[in-house]
Amino acid sequence: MMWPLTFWLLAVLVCSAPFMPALREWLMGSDAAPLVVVREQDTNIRHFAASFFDQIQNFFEREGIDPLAPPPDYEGEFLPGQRFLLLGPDSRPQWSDEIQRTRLVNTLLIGCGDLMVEGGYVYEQEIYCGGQLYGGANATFRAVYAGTDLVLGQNCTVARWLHSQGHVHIGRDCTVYGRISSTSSITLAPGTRFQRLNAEVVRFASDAAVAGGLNRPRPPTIAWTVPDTARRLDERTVSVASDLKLFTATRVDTHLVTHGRLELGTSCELNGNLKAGAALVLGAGCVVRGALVCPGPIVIGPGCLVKGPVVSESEISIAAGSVIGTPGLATTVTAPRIRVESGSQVSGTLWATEQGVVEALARRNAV
Amino acid sequence: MSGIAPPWLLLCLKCVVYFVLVLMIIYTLRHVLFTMNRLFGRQRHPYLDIDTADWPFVTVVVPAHNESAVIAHALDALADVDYPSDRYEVVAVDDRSSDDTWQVMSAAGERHPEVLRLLRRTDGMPGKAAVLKEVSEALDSDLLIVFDADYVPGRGLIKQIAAPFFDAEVGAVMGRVVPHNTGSNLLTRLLDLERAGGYQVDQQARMNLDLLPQYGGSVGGVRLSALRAVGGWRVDVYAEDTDLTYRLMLAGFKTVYENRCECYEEVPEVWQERNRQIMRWAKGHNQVALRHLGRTLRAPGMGCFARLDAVLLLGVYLLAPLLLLGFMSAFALFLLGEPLLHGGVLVVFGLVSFSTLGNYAAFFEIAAALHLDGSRRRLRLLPLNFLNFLVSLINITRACASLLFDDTLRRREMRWDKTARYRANGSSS
Repeated sequence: MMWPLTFWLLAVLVCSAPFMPALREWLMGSDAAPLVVVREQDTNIRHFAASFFDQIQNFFEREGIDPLAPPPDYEGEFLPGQRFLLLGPDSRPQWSDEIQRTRLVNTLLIGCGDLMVEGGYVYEQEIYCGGQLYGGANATFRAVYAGTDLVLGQNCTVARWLHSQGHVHIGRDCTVYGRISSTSSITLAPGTRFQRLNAEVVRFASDAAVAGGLNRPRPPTIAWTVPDTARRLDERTVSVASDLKLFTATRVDTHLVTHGRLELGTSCELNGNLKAGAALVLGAGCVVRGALVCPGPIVIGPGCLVKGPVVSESEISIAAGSVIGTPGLATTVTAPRIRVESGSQVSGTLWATEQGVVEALARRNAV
Repeated sequence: MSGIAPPWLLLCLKCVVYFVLVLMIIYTLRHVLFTMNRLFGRQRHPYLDIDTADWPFVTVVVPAHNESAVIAHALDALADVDYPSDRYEVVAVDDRSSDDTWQVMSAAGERHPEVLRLLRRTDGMPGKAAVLKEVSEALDSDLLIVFDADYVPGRGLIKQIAAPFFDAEVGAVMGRVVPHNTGSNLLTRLLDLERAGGYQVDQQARMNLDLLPQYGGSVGGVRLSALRAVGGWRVDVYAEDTDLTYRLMLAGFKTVYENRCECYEEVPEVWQERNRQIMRWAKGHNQVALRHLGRTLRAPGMGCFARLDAVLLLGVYLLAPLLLLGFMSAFALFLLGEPLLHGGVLVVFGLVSFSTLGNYAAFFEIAAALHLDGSRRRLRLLPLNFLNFLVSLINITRACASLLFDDTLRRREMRWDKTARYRANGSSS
């Protein structure tokens, strides 16, 4: 009698075991809050810079500091465990022997005016500068905020974010991870590697090539004849189930979808959005007054003008002289990898989720 | 006892059990694939990063019937979104409410006169689909975005929904719905698990694999030219959103799922309300299955895998009655003394059906979703979801029977049920 009873008790115990934590969680409700869904930092490229600026303004208020008439340089504690060094206008930090030996600065720098930070150091804490900031070559920065213009020497690294209320100039062979933003313009020299850029105008070195591309004379265009095999999805969208190649100076006045590769000859004009299923290639001097979307690579030839977003799930190459977006009508260029040739220009946001790179002129590869 | 049943009956019962078993295995494999894809595969969020552009003109429609408790929050949130005001309008429609919804809407209209347009319906066909049909026919806009009155969108949501429409092939976009009354009781907590699995794993995996994510009618948008090209909203179906998903697919458009495009909603807090909701969904989905199965099988330009998945998606609400039929057949065989399959097969049957049919999301999908969401302690509730599974099993079966006998054979007129709201006036959370 005892054994069957024990067996059944054990069986009930084993079967009910998973319900014990379930009942506990139901009654205790230790994880019952709704999922947090609003992520301001995800959508706003300047979120971290704006938060840091607010922190600094609160600090000035707390310490009774007038940034326009700051006290002499002094050190203190910004947050528990975090030291700061306040620098007046035109001051340069004087580092201890230990810091000069290790080249490691673990102090938050707050410059009330212009600030020049020495190259070759690793700045482990953020840097705030009320005026212009000059960063020396071979320096590594965690994050930088500049009240006006910001200039980085060659071969610098930015780990998290960088924001300027003026122009940003980034020297050759720098690596700028995270978010780089400006209220005005960003200029990147060849060899720079980037992830996320946002400004009214992002220039890739030479202005001359951009101007050349925009001013290129364009031949008169001929309207595209929709092939019989094409399918009209709606009144403005035509879909082609295969590869498609448009001849030189063809004009398309609809949205165009191809399931294969879409190749545009030179000087084509498209007054709609383009989508290609495999690859999308724009010949030189094309004008697209819509978006470019492709799961595969997108190649934008020299001297093209694209007004809408450019979205690839693989790679985007932008050749010299091309202009994406305009200062009054900013747009987005996004792909895992973005290769931009010197002499092109983007207005708005570039977002390379893996890596973007600025290449010197004429190092172009076809897809 | 096996002698009392004719051999053909035993054979039929065995066929039923084997058929259901095979179906369960197919669905299990499908959901295992989705889960593996979400955990280890390449994730696709191609439009997520579009934050700056020449945005299209968007009209947000908020249909409301007796929504005075919740609609003010939705309208205030929609008026405060980050979207160019000259390209944006909100049309709130009071669909013959008997409470003070119109007064609440009017007050919101006075607070936000620049974006908010108010309409009041006093005649015509009732229901959300009828509202959307009427409004969409009168609009001169690029995109139509629909929110239910209990939804509270974040500031960046409209841009996130609009962004995929730069892709000329996209006809509809669906965002993720997140319950905000999670902590109310056991039911809301179980529905929270179910929603997590359904959106975080199931929908996103279908997006990753270039299959057919489902447009859900809220927290999503439709390209108006595409909507018109496929004949507009239909009012003769309970699940007008699923119907639209399939019509767009058949017309060559894609539906995109945006997992990071999240919005809070209220889930039912009482079981009766939940039962009505799931019966309505099941009925509507099965209506769509009957209408579009043949066309989906013959649709041009679809890959085999995409076609198979589209067919399997049509069949999700048929699984419950089939499973019940399988269980009953197996039980009948047992009573008739027929050596029913093998013991191992029965175990597989039970296990597979249990883990596959966790209503919208298989149980392992829910576990993966909670892992991805980083909210792991609520995973402990998973065994209790068996209760939800059983209740849904019965109600979906009831819905299927009702669709067959009431709607199809007796041709009963369609009737919409209003989902109850639980938020107190003035409370936004």
